[in-house]
Amino acid sequence: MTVSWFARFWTMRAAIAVVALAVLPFFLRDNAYVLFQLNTIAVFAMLALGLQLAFGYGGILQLGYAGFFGLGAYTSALLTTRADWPFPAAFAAAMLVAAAGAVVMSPILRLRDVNFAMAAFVFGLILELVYNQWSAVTNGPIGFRGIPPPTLFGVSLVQPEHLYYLLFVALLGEYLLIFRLLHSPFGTALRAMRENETACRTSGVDVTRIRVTLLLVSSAIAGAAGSLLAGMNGFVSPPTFGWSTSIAVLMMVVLGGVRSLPGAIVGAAVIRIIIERTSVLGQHSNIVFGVALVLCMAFLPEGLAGLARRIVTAIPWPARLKPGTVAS
Amino acid sequence: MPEFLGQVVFGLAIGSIYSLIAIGFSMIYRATGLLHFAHPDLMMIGGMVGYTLATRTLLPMPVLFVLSGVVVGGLSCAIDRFGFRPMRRRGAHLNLIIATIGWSIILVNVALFVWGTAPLSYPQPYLPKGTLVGGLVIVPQNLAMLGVGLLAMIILQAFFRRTVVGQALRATAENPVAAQLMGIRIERMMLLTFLLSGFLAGGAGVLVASIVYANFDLGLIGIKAFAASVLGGFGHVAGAMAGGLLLGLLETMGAFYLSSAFKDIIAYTLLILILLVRPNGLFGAGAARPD
Repeated sequence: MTVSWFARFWTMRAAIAVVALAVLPFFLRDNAYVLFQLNTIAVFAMLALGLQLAFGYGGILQLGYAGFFGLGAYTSALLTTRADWPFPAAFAAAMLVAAAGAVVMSPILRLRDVNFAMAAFVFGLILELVYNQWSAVTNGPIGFRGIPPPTLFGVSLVQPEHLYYLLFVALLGEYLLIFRLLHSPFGTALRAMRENETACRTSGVDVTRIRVTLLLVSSAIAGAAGSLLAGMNGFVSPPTFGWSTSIAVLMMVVLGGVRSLPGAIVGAAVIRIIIERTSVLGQHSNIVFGVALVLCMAFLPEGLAGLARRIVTAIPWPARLKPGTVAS
Repeated sequence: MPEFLGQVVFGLAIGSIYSLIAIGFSMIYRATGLLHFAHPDLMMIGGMVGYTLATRTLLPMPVLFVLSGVVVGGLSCAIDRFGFRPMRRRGAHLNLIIATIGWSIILVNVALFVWGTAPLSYPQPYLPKGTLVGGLVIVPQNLAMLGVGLLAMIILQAFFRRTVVGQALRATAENPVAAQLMGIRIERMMLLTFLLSGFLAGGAGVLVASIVYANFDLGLIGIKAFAASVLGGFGHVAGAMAGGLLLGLLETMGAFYLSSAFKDIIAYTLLILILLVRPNGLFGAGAARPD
């Protein structure tokens, strides 16, 4: 019997995680700072999931990902400050513009390996340069200030716990979308593509279309995250959407574990906490990052998810509790 | 006309910086298949080491070039030996590329820690003194860079084609497994590649830093050097040299005749277009692979 994708998703562990995240703000009601950090983590978790889809599952080493994050943030900022668009419309426009950017980038997908990595990297650089230089539209290095908070059904979401639920819903929605995608025929084709591309083409799978779809979906996700960031912080400026952010998000995916969706979220949380904790070091904070990147690549190539798997399999579980066995 | 010639000289000077780094990129790519993101930062370290030596000792420029080259060559080897080799054994290529990004971040921050944030200017005797030749200002460092680049290119070309070690290097790049079966110690060959490219990067760092300044962000030039090596066809030493000079010219002309605010955008867009049309570089064989 086939199991529906939702039944696969809705395991005991997933249910516990969702409920725990849903009630978390009740324990943090007086702690706006922690909530704000959680919200930032949520935005980056959205990015990490999007990159997990493109890079982890699709093998597309998208080194310019933060540029698309910026497309969403700037679109949203422009439309809400200069044209007074309501938030939901600006949010949708942000996703569309980011997806349009992906369409512009898509010819690059013909390139392979080093050439693709190079071109994607340069594409990200171009976007960052545009944010810095095209002052008439982007305000240059200053960026936008005073972006109104997201408004839904006439309610302005200013309180961090309100924003938390908005982000929670967005993240859960994205997770379900990607999960669904991976457990559809598209996901099967994706696996086949990874295993043997030539065989995959021979069997009539349109590999180019799969790669373009991955790029479009992941970019639209980055656009959505950008729009949420703009509404949440109230300001945007170019450095957020440059090379260092692309690297940070890549690091989240890799540390969390390539081809693991929960891993991407955990990776996002860990990296954000590292960035936050080491910011007291000022300009030297990045060295932690570099060392972490090198060590993680050398000793944890499968990331935290791989580590967790190894620990779980090493524990002698009683037969009843053995993970991976579905209770009938 | 002198205006145009002046731009050409300036463009070639900048281009020769790109060339020196691009040659290193290409060598490493050729020998190990690695996209080495930390390579430009090795050049930056070279500029910093050169600064310290220059202020302490006031040794002549060629000596600085060699000393700094040796230091950075050693550093480059150490990174390969202790950073990359253990990972190469496990054969995760993408992980290796990401690890080079990590090394790049580490090198930049080490430079920040040791030398601080302020741009450092070399002491007076090292600063570029332009001489007027036929209405053109010629800076010796620029000539030196051009000369060193050309020399390195010729020596490397001869080295790769004529010597046993060079052929072993090429064999390693072509097919590591077969090379190993033929008795070539490929790990040693790769180490040699890192030494040579590190030496060049260190020396180039001294030349560059004495013209502009020594600072932790000097490695940013590396982005252009990447572009240069791609222009010339990744993995071709002569192509990297030519690509660097071409990019320097294009960029200077673009800034002069079009727009200086958008010169980088122009250069990068051009780069992507060239990659799409000729993925093997301007001088590489064949057009885009049909997909």
